[in-house]
Amino acid sequence: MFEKLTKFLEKRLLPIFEVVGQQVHIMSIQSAFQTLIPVTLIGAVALLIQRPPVSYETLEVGSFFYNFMKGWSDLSANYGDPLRLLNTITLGSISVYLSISFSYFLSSKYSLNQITSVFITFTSFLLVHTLSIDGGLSNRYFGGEGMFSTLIVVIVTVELLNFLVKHDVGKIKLPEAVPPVLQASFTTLFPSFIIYGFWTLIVLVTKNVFGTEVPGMIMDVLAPFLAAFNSLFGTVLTSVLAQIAFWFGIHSDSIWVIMGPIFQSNFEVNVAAYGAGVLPNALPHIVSSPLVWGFGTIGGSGATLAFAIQLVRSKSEQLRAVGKIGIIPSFFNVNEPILFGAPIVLNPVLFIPFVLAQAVNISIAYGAMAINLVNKPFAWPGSITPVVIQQFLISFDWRSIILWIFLIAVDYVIWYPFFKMFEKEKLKEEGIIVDNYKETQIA
Amino acid sequence: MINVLLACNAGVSTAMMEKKIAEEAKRRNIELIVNAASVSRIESFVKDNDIIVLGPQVRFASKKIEKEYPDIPVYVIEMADFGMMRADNVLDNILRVLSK
Repeated sequence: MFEKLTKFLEKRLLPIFEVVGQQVHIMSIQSAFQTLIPVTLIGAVALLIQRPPVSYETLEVGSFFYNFMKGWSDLSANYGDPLRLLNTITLGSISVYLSISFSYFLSSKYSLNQITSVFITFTSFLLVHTLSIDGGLSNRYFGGEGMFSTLIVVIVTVELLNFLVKHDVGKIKLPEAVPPVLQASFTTLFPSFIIYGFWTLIVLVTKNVFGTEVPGMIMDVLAPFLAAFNSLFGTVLTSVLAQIAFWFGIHSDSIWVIMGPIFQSNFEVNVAAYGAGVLPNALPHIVSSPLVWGFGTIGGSGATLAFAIQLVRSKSEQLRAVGKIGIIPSFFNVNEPILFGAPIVLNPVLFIPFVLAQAVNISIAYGAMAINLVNKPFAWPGSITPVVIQQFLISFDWRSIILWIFLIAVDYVIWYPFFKMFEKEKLKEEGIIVDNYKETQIA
Repeated sequence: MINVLLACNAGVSTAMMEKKIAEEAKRRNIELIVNAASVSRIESFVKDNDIIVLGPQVRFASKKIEKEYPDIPVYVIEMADFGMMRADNVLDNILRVLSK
């Protein structure tokens, strides 16, 4: 059965994953999202410290904590504006950073001059994503709402620029004496006019024919698709695909990129709601990075922490050795030693738990948050923050740690039968058990 | 002096491997520097390296990288060597590929 499954996957899915893992746009988006993490973090922290974790109104009047929280609250009301502004210009303007970062990585891939490419793309981003109001600029589409249109603007702009530059369109010949930096900016002068003209035209048509703005229109078109993926179903489906890809040894990040903008904008909405005073169990979204990286991938992709514990306690010398190398990184959600050491990658015996455990974790954690057993996420310290601390920080809720321990127990049960099968194979190889073990005992 | 570009998926485990290779080289008195990079950004780091070493999780990129940088040899770390962090085998292979 395992062999048939392997053959089927190799024939149907491997070619798709190979293309996805190599695709320049997906690779660049992946790099871009990685660079956005500090920006997101700063924005979230700024908002978290301007709101006391417990509302003083729920505390006993006159008690120490009442005074402390009330003081915090008053301080924030009077002097919290810079913190709220910091949030608005970081997490709340995430599309701005995305346009810069994504265009930087994509233009490097095409060996274009990076800084001029970023300038041109950023200007195009502003052309499409802002309106002039009251003599200033509107930042309505700078946040999560503008992310998808940002991705489209960056791809179209850089592709156009690449095409124009590579075909020498509008290349201006300058004398040898002109310094190279100046030369580079002149090379893109004419192409940039074409690109700005193109976006101006798009904005004009959208406004005058459809009576709306480009980012809003793109969101309307994508709405049904987003609604399907912005759900438990979409997250689990992506998780399954990501795990199958990783089983082939293709890093799952290239699949999770699909969910990136959804995770990011949900998270931003939750942080904003928390900052505005919504209780942590009443926040609007569950689907987010913390759901997947905090509770799904316990010990790394495939929820392998339970498996790592089984390895450490294995009777097989080889598996024990892998367990010893892999167990400590597992507590930081890094599991490559186990993935490639056991190995799990391309190992038919371990395919099922590798795909299943993570999907089960995500579903259980989603359920626990949906019925308010655990707070919904509004902070994200990053997936390699040591476990337990990480789970606590996601929603400042100690019950998250209990959920985490419960999920490890569930994973242990899911992994166990497959681990046993695999261990038996290894023990045979090591000559510790032989096939006719029982007969020899009796004899 | 040997410059090795170790590329993977921006992972932490590669940092472990990077350190182990450097230690192994030091133990054998080989002058060698390991530069780690994410495979998606390889073009910014590739210059001046003698060999590109890929982690097994990005082995599918090898064909494309070989084509893009025909002058630099590419070597993919075997899964077992990577998983068990066997830097001695990896270093052996690096030296073998370079001596060709």
